[in-house]
Amino acid sequence: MMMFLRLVTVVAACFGLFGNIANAQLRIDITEGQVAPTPIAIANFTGPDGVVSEVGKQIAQIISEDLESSGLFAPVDSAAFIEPPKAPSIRPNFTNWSPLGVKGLLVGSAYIDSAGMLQVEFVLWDVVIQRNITGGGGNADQNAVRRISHQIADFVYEEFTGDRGYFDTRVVYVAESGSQSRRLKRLAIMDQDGHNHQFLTSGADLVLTPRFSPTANEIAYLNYFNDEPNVYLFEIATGRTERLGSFPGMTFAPRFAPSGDKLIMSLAQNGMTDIYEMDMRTQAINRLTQSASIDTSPSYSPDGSKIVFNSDRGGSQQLYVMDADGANVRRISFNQGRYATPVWSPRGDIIAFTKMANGQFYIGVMNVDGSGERLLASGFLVEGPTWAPNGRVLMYFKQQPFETDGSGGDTHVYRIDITGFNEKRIITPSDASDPAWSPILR
Amino acid sequence: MDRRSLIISVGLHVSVATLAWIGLPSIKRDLPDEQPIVVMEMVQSVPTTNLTQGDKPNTAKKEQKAAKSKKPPPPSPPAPPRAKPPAPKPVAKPAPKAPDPKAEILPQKITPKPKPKPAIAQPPAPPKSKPKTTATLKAPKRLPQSPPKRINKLARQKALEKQREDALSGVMQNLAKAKAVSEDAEKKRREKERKEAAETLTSNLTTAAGNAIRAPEKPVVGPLGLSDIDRIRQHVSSCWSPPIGTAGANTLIVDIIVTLDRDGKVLTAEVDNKMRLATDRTFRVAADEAIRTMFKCSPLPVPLDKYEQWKSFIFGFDPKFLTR
Repeated sequence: MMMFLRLVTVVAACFGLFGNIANAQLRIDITEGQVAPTPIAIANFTGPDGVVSEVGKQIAQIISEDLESSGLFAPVDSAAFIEPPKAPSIRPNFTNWSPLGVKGLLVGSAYIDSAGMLQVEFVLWDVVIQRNITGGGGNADQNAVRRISHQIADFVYEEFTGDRGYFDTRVVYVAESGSQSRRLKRLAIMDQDGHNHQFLTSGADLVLTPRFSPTANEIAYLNYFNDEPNVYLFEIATGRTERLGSFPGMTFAPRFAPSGDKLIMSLAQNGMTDIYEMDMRTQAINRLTQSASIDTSPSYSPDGSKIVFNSDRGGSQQLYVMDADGANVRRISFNQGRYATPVWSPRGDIIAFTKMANGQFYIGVMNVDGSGERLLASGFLVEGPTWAPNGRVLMYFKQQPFETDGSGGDTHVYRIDITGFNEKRIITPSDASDPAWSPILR
Repeated sequence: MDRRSLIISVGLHVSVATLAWIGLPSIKRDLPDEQPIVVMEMVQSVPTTNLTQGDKPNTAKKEQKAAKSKKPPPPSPPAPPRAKPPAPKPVAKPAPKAPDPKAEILPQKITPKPKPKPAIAQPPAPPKSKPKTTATLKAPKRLPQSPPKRINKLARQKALEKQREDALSGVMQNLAKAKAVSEDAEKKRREKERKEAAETLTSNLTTAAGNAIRAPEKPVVGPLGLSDIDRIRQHVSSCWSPPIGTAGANTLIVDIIVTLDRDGKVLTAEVDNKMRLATDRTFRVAADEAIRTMFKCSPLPVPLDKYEQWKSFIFGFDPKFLTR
């Protein structure tokens, strides 16, 4: 009888188990979403008295422009605000912000103190969850309004995307002017949004391919001094220039190693163009490739262990990857067309390049093994991609000819998101080419 | 090892045989109380698989009813496991009076309960047999009731011997009778025990099955249909901004545990993987967006009559499609 009752218990337990399974928590997988800019409210910053200050308006304006230019944010017009801006210490009334459909609200204070310093404080609120996301503050020189605004924009960008912002960065490029026959090319530098523009060289010598050092304090570039092309170093703070190395032949296409202690470049000697690395302290050079072909445009991986470059050793211009010491060279581009100017992403996962195929130029990206090629921009001439320090925006230059034979026309710098959306021109005082994006400024 | 297996095998066979011997005959006999309850569960579970309801939520209820009456089993996947037990269905046949097994079936199936009740009245009859067994025990009392009279020695002796023999045979007969009666009583007692055990088994199984199949006793509502889930999924998708362009977006799968009130309004939304939340900044941002999505989407378009089914959800936000 006991056995019998046990059996009954077992059966009942089984039923109980099935019952639990039947009542398990329901799961729904969301595998699609809306790709749209994040709506956000940037309130004018208030002064110490709680009233909007002039500098506070300026800061809110710069932050809004930064975020909007990324294509990932949609700042709401302040005219639509129900509630006037308040000091960052006051918790907002979210019922006045929710109707705007915004996910975030940035409030802050900014004023010039008695010592003439700019004092800034800000708080970023999550309007949907109704909590404080981040906040901060600091002071700066009165002339640093734009820079401190870019830094706040970076905070906001990071909190909503997970990637570091890139607004507090600069871009060096080649400013072009004059006719095609007597083209003047000078080094110029500007903020990533085109503001604070400044020429670095006079234009007496032709300059090409400027590249920032990892500290953003120096620029390596190609300078035709006395019609002899060589790699030079430009110190931004002092304006001092220095030729890197002195050896027979032509050096070009320089790029710094991530550590900053080495520079790689191409050296053309005896009809051969190979890749060399230079010790920045001793200026000693070390040859990395040895072939009868043209090996050029080298670029380090972010960890410095690999180098990508282009070479015509296989018959046409293609992309190759090798170890930092020149070993294990392998081709990675196999699609139709020619490839040039490869640049390794700061994230390390993809490589940007210029491609020539079917009479068109393209800017594209591919995985580091050559797979997953995607073309992001195209035109009569698009070239010279450079990465934003967060690895999700590319800048390049584009020439749009006036004539059908390709002559004439303007050359401008553009930027585009790696998704292929949000292509925007950067406004410069003159034609612009060969941009190079700086690391995050410190 | 083999001997042990043999012993286990034999033991199991014996227990199964015993169970069948004890239980099956009892089930065949009238146990109307339990049967209808099981049937009730089955009947209710079949029409509530709301695939059809989900397909045509508001448009043609009449069509749905007609479809149900024609094909009760076609309902969605959840039905099969519960549809099998319909073995009891035949028992439900007494209710054939109800030609359309739609919603009306429920009340009609419940009403047959009283019908079998008369059958319940019969079993109590056996208890009456108990007094009979006590009556047979009176027989031994007859022995002292036959004292012999003395006529002469021989005759008396013979008579005595005869009487003794008779008495002896009478005692033996009586003892045999008593034995037979007691055996009969024992049989009945065992039978009664078996019956009680069978009743206990059936009622336990019924209770267990009932508990397993229906969580709440009163409103028996089916699970969420595919269309319900699709509607919720689409609604939440329309509120979600996936982490486009973010490094490793395909690994940023965020599970959010959501609790809702009876109106479908989001009460709480919490990240399941809290460990990664603390260590991975990109994941934290993706998780924040997922939580925002849930509150932004509140209330969810849930069928209000099935609160028990959706009062708590897990939403898995998977941005892999961005890397396709």
